[in-house]
Amino acid sequence: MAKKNVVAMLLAGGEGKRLGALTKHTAKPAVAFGGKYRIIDFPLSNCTNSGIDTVGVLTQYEPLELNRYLGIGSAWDLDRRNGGLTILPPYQAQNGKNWYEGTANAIYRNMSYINQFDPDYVLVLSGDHIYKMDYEKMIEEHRLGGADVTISVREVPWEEAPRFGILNTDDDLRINEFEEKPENPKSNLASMGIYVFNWDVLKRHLIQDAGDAESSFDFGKNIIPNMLFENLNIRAYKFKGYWKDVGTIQSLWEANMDLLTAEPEFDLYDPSWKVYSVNPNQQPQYIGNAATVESSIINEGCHIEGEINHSVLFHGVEVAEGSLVKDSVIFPNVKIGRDVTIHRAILADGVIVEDGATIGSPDGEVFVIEAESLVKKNEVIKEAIQ
Amino acid sequence: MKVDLLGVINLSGEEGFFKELTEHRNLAAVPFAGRYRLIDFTLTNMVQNDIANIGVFTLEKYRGMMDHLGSGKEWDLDRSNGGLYIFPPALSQDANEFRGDLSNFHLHRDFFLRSKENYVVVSGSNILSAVDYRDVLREHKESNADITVVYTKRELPCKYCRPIRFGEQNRVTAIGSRGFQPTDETFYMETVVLSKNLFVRLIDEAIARGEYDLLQSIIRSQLNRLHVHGYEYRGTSQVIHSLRSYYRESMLLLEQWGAINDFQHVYTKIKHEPPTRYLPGSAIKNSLVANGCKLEGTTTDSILFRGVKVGKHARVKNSIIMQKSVIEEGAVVEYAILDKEVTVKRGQVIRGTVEEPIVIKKQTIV
Repeated sequence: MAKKNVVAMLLAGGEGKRLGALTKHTAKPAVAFGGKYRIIDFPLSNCTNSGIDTVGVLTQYEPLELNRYLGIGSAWDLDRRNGGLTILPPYQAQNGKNWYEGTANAIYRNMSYINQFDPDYVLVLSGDHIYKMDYEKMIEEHRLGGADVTISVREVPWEEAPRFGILNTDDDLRINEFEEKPENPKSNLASMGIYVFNWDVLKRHLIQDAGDAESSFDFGKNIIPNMLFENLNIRAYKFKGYWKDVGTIQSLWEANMDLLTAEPEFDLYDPSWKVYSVNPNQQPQYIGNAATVESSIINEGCHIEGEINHSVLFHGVEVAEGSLVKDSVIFPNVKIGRDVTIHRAILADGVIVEDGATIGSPDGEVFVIEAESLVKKNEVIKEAIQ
Repeated sequence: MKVDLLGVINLSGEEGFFKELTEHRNLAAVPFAGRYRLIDFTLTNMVQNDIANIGVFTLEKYRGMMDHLGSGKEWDLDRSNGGLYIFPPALSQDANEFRGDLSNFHLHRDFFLRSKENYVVVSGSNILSAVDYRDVLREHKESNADITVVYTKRELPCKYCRPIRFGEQNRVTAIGSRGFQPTDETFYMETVVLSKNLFVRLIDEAIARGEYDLLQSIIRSQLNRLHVHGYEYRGTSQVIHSLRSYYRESMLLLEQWGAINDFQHVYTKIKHEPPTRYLPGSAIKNSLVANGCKLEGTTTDSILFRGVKVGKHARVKNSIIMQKSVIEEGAVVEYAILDKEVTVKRGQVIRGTVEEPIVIKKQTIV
């Protein structure tokens, strides 16, 4: 393998418990977003747009759908002869080790993958955020600052800081302390879980951490604190722009709704920063004579005869006459019959809603209808199904 | 399962029937139904019939089509074995005059000789259908025909179709000229199946005689000598031969959408366009909309291709708006076909009629 300047490692093995029914049979990074995408499309497209062509995707929880989606990385131009996208599942080793035991352990177990490319830098990413970021700029700043580690941060409102992992820095953005959910934060710079490491430094720490019986093999809990203790040059990189953690049903719904404002802060339509995704090859959408569609985004393959208001529809959705879909997110291939009313709901893949059903209420809590389920004729669902 | 058929899409015999849309592109590359090009339909149909070795023989203005087809990846035709081949005319400096589609085949005859398949299906690109080529091959073998041509019955007269006549047992006796007898009900679908060896032999013989036309030299002139069989296609088809038929077939799509049309399986080039945005105040009725559009105004009975913008209070009616065209605030477009990247400025009005839809050329600013 030829030498690579940067290798990206994307942590995509998380279960995403707080997404409830949406991650019952799907890894969180494969959860649908924005009418056409899956969460993992955003970090992968960021890699492609940042000129990073070597990406290891670490999988563990419910990988079938994610693996099928990723394929050989063609959708993101990552089907490369040298490098490209490689899925890195946990594997059995002679020492009996099996599952990945933490974020740092997952990288540690794949050191030989990284070593093949003899990189200068390793970029560690996670698969649960919606954002656009030029990683190249972050790496450039890392290099110019002579850092060992750079952690991407964003400023959060002070009152919200106790909910985040907070990085305390000096005036020069050199990090001197990491506090997980501090009661009395000294800074409002929250870690985004995006790290650039000098590979030789990270390698040494991964090996050291692996030998520590007390460790939970986690970047935030072990690796970064150890590096701080060693007084390494760890710097913060300030990111400005839209960034949303979509780890809960509420935040996933909100991030979808964010796309529906008149001038969305998160612009999917910027030709200079395309978001790539696997194309389901659908026919154009058809909007019928009885349809009303406003303030919504709709993907190909939909057939709309009802009213769609302030909602996000994925491919292959059918909405029959007399039905209303409002403030909702409808995943692929959902079929909605006649005279159905849907408010503030996320309908997962392949749900069938029969005529006359009512789901949700205009001011109720956002909830999810599980994939492939059936909502019967005239059924009324106003409470979240757990 | 594999099928013993070599696919040939013959564009070198297709005339530019409607120059407005084919000034910059060949007929095969004319955009259709919101996100496709005409060639997608024949190519997809071949792939759906498990034909895995396909040659596209082009003549002119093929840049757009080459860009569209690429390596054939979207049709699953980027193969080590077979796959997609594009053959521009093999011109030499001393004989740079195009004489007919047969000369194009003749100059690329190695394609036929090297392929493993024993039978060839030759098709054009401007008749959209779902001909089952496997079934044509089966009937071809069963009837012991030398050549099998595909025909269809149409109730509506088809001015630009070639009428076809039969003797006993569907033996073809004549194939007429376009527009010759508009009262006929059976039409040749510009699709023919025959054995590869016979095809190559007939090409060589025709070229030796100084003849260069597929229909004339390989089919018509052999009607008395060889057994030319007619295979009836009973499904629906769309014939796109003129601006009027292009417009009519497009509008028919809207009338029949959901009932007859199913393009779910048609492959085309991937563009990575985001979903379409409908802004507050948008009103869309009976329209086919591709991805990447931004819609604010009123659109009725129209087809919008990828990345079209319809501004506030703009009105689009009975029109076909191609990729990345922009209808600015308050503009009106009725009974019109806007080619790619046309801009209709604020408050401008473009109005054609059902019989004479106005065509606005690519990249025009109105």
